[in-house]
Amino acid sequence: MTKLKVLLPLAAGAIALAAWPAYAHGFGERTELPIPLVWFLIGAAIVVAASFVILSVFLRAKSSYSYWRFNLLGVPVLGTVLASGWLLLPIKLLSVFLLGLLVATGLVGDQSPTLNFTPTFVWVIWWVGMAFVVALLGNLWALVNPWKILFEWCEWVYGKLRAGKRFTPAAAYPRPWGMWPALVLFAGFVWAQDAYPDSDLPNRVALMTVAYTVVTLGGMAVFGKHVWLRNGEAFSVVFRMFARFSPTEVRTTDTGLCGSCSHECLDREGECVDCYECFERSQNRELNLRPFAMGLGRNERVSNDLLAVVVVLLATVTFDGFSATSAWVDFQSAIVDAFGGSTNRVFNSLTLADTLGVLLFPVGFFLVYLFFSQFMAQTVDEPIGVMELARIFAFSLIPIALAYNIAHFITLLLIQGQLVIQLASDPLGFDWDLFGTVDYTINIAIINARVVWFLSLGVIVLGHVLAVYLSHVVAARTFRDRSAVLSSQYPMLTLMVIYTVISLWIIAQPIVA
Amino acid sequence: MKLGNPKVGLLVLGSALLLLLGIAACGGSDPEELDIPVSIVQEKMSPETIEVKQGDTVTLMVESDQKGDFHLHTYDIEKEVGGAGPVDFIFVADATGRFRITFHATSEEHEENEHEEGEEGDGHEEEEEHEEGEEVDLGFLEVNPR
Repeated sequence: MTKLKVLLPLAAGAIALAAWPAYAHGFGERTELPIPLVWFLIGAAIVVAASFVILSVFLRAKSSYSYWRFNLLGVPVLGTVLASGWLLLPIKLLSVFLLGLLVATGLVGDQSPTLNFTPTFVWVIWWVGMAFVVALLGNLWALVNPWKILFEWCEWVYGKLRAGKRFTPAAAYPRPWGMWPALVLFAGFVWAQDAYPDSDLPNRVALMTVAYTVVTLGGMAVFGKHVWLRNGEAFSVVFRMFARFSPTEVRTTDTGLCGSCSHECLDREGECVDCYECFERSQNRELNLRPFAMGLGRNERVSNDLLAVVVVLLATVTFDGFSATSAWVDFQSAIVDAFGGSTNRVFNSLTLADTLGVLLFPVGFFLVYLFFSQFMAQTVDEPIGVMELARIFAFSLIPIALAYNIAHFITLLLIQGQLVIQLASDPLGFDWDLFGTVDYTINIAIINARVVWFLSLGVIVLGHVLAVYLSHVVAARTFRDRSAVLSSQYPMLTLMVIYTVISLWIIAQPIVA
Repeated sequence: MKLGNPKVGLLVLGSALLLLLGIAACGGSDPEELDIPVSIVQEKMSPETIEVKQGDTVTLMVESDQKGDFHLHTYDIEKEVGGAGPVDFIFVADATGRFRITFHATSEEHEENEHEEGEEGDGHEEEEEHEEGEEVDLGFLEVNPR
């Protein structure tokens, strides 16, 4: 009888698992309405018109780059509170607890995706939610990264066990690797999100998390904490890119420290911004408010690996939406027709089609970008290479991708995100009611479609305007000749209009997948 | 038109914004009571997309050639259809959006299983249930803002 009690839930779980329809694209039911055709057309018209208005307004822009800043650490009480490490302890404990919880619930709990804490927390709350917070407020991830916190605790224990000794990394990081390890890991994550049919299954998510934890802690142990966070920890790299858009920055004013930083953190104007390694060691720190997107316009050295990160981000953000349109479903059907259907749950033609998308979208995106960079190189007639142009202008495209990302995910976050209220009370799907919220009914009318359309259109137009502005800033400091500054902007503007209108087009498509 | 001329750009920008505001402001008809016949033949629904407006009191009269569960997602309304006559689904469409409708075929044997469930059915029968009816996508309910 006791055996039966154990087997029965297991059997029920297995059946629920088998009966659950496979969702690619991470997890979560999409319910948003496409924006109507008229809205799309008007949005596109605004984008084109705004581009020319900005171009003419910024004709008189200066070439030096400075922006308004306000140091929060300088505010009397607030500054002391923010600088105190003890305030962070509960946040750190919570973050590590959540990492442990999501692995435990994923492995032990009920295996139907909506009854288990893990898929909703990882795909909706953490991945979508964290991207929103990081882009709109600041780099929260640098603070709550549970792997970083775990590693710091290990370092602390090491210091206690071997009195007086500090943990030293086992190996020097091979310079040519750059950020490629992070990029490879991120590509794997994107594949899981957009192509892996079992990405919504709790135990798969938990196992992927365990594997990533091993890689990340290992990377930090071998190469050092900051080195791995900068080059190998995919989410630190991605969220740091998103955070360049955010209205907050960390800044180290005693730049003498930067000589001993494991990374060349100083930009061409001799400033040390958003380098967490220097920030951690420095006594002269600032936590600044700044206008949106300013972190994307600084005069930095952009390496090829960083360019690759930008291109992959731009492409994958777009692909996540594009892969839910009927255009993509047509492509999937073509692949299924060509290679035949297969009964295998994971390795079938559908997965192949999505895998091709995940791999080829960034490549295609890069080629298009290179084409426009070539176009620009010919237009300006200055001694500057195509690849160098591609590198220095890459950041300016980020606001368009972030704006699209917000429009694409706002409904999912607001509606599916509410699931976490129920799941907090019953994370394992065992009919618990820890906080009395298990009967919470999701308010599916929380946001009206018309509000979403307005918000989406507004955000996308704003993102485009910021992109055009940033691109102009880069041009103004790169080209000495005034006419080159202007003429360089026509190819870039064309590319930006195309990219923005594609974003608009995607949110005007009904979601079919 | 000279590229980069601020006047032309501003003119287009202004008129587009005005047009957008105009469109956003229009509409505003009163909620209706809608009776919508829906038929499912060989797991295909017609109409494939059911369109209503926010606030409408909707009655879906669902007929099916096969017994099974008709499930309107997110609104989370689920009932068995395919019996003698049409089954009514009555709800107020207060949330805008595009909601998935799925169908999960059931059979006579399955129903018997359901009766036995209280006696700890031994998993084997439940497996059969799974083989009989995969959940299939029928279409969507579109609730547009008014």
